[in-house]
Amino acid sequence: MGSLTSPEIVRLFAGLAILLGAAMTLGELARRVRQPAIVGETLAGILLGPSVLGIISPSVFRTLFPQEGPGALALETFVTIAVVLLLFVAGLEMDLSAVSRYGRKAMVISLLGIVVPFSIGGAAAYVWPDALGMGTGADPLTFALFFATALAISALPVIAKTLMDLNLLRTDLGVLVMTGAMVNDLLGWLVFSVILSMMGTATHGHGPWFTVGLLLLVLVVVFAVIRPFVNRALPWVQGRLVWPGGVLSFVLVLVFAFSALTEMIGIHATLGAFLVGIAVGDSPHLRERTREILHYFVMHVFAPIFFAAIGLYADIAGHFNLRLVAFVLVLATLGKVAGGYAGARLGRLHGREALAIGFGLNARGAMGIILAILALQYRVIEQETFVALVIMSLVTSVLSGPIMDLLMARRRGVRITDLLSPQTFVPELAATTLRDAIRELQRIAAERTSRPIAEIEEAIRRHEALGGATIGNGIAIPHARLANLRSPVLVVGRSIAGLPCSTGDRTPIHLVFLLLTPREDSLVQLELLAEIAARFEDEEMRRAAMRANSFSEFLAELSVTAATMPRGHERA
Amino acid sequence: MSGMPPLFPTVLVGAALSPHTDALLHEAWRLTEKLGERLIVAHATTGNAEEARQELEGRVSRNLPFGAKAEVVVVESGRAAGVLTEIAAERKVDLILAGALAQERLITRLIGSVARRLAREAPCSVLLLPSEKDRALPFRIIVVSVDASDEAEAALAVATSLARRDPPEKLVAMWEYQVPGLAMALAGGSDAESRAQRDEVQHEEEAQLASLLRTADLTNLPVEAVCRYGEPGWVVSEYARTAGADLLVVPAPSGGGGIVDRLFAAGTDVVLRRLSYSVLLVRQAGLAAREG
Repeated sequence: MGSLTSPEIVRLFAGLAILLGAAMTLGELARRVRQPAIVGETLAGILLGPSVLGIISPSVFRTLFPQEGPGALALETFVTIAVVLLLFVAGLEMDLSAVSRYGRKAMVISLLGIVVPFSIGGAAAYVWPDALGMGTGADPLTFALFFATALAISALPVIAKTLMDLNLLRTDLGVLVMTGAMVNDLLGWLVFSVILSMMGTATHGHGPWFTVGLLLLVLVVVFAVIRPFVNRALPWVQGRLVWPGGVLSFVLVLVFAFSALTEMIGIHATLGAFLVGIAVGDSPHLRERTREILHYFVMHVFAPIFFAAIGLYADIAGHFNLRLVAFVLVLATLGKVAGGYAGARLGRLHGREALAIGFGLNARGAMGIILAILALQYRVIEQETFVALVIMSLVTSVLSGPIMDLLMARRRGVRITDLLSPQTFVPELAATTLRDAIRELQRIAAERTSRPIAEIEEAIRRHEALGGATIGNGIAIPHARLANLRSPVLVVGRSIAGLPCSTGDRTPIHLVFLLLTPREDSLVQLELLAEIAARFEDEEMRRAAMRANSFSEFLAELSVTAATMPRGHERA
Repeated sequence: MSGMPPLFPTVLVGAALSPHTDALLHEAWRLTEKLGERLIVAHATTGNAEEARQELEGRVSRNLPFGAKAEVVVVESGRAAGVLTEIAAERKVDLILAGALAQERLITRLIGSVARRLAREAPCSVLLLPSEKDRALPFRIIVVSVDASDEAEAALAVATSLARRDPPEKLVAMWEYQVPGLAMALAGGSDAESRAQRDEVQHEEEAQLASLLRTADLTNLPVEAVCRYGEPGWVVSEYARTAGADLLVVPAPSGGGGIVDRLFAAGTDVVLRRLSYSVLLVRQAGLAAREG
């Protein structure tokens, strides 16, 4: 068996040290200017690659990063392991039960978010294969399918980080974007694994339909065998073996073993790793701390080296084609934004939110780059297309955050003082019972919202059936959520004499707050209800509210206390 | 509870004529006395309906107190869950009580699928009594799963109503939350940043739970608020199991239930995998309106 010579070992480790050091440095700089680390890491590789170092000092470049021989093979092995681990951590974050939880809306966004860009990309690549840089001797169908997949995929890590930076990760919109990206990635990698198998038919002798059948079998094995096994094994591993080393080893054993298995049967190793990631990540026994450590392990060691190594493959300067880059960028953005937008609109989201979802899904990041490098290795694409895809992946990742930020100009938390007006304040209710008082306020709400009063009555009645509207201290808050309501509506009525109350503390009701909130915003109702309850549990506040002789005085009393109360957290 | 309207006026119990049926009938009556007004006992049979009716009527008279009345319905059908759902819709039932609805040797397997069908398709709330439990009442420890949704608000309202009628030792309002992609989003930063961010998320979720409880009528109830991160459904079911809960109250799911939901189970589907306590699946529609 051959082995590396001492000089080759020196070059290998020196090269790795420089790659990791440069990637780490530029990645950190990117992070500090609130850009994805992948941008800095890839830039490091470009600087160390043929485009810059290769021109400034070709001998140093060739010494550190040989293009052939055992040293090159060793580095490529490291890169292959890095790709497998990157796909593993991508699989780890697949929460496919989120699709189930969020229902039709999430499914529609997910599907259109992949079907539209896939169709656009595939059609363009089939019609203009030469313009898009199909590899010499590559099959046009394979090229079209690959290009379609490259445009359809999304980058979960970049999207997650962007959403978190924009404080959107925990919002309904953020969850829809993440869910859409998860489904995009799952379907995208399943399709790509079939494409890779088609490209590898010379070695495995499989046709595409046989590969599809194998893929289905692999999926069955993952969900019927590996997932239950992981569920049973993880508690034991995390509890009995040294932590976190034990679980780290256990997971890596699974990753490498299943990657080997899938590669052996003709489905690329990356898919095996991705599916193991799904199986492991799906287990409720996986501690969050373990999940974090797995991410740290991959994202701070293997990922920087991988993205820096991309630059070694890409002679950006030599193969930069502005028209091709622009064409790919436009196609990619058009497809993804259109698909995400259409899906969101069909899910009855408003225009700006739908557009934000489209741009949120547009980031290609690591996934796009991995697809490109694999396609280059299999000679499906030429160098110019590879460069175009890398640039497209980086540009879409960089722009995603700022565009979403512009579209989703963050609203300050809503307060009840924001919702009140003379038209929504009834200084003395004509009603003598709580039910009639609610009807009185419902009429005003119907005028404000231009909704049929029957709809509001029914919505309030359903809520009343749950537990009545009273919260004690003479306060009643009949409330309901309405679909497609643009913004919250609050109508307030006072009863000086007090309305009889048969529930709770049975204190006569003096203040009735009828609150309607958008069904699509799950949190605003909670925030407003909590604010009303918090303010009016203070006896002095209740007295002041009853003493006010006009709406202005009433609002003034509320505004005085408003200054001392925290707002609800910023939301999309 | 004098003066309080019945929470579930009409209770329907599915009886499989198995050894567990006697306990189920006994519990059905106790629940009807506490929470309802009227009891219907239903059985789906693929055999002789008349013989099944006679046996069922015999069991009803043996297990209900003297003078207690229950309507007995026997339907020739192999679809137990479907029969219960249809009867519930026709007779405007408010609560379906179900235990082991099949042969003893199939309990573990079938109760899952029948329970899921009822959970998703029943037009009213469903109380599932696991086969190894002979008693539903009393509910000493009640755990209710809450979030910001209308359905969870309904579940909390029912749990508090139950607690007023049959005071428990503890009523735990559990807020479980999960943020898809959080670990991935935090992986690019330092460990300290990750800790701080997670702590901030936890505090915000706890504040939302506090907001929710503030607006509910919890006067004189022994309520404990718990907020945990993890897979929805899994966290609350594990908590209920380790806390020794007698009853877990969750919102009933709507729609779905197909292969996708079973492969990628979420929320209630996860809860229904392991039933070591009674589970009350609350459906908003069908809750009796009460005077405010």
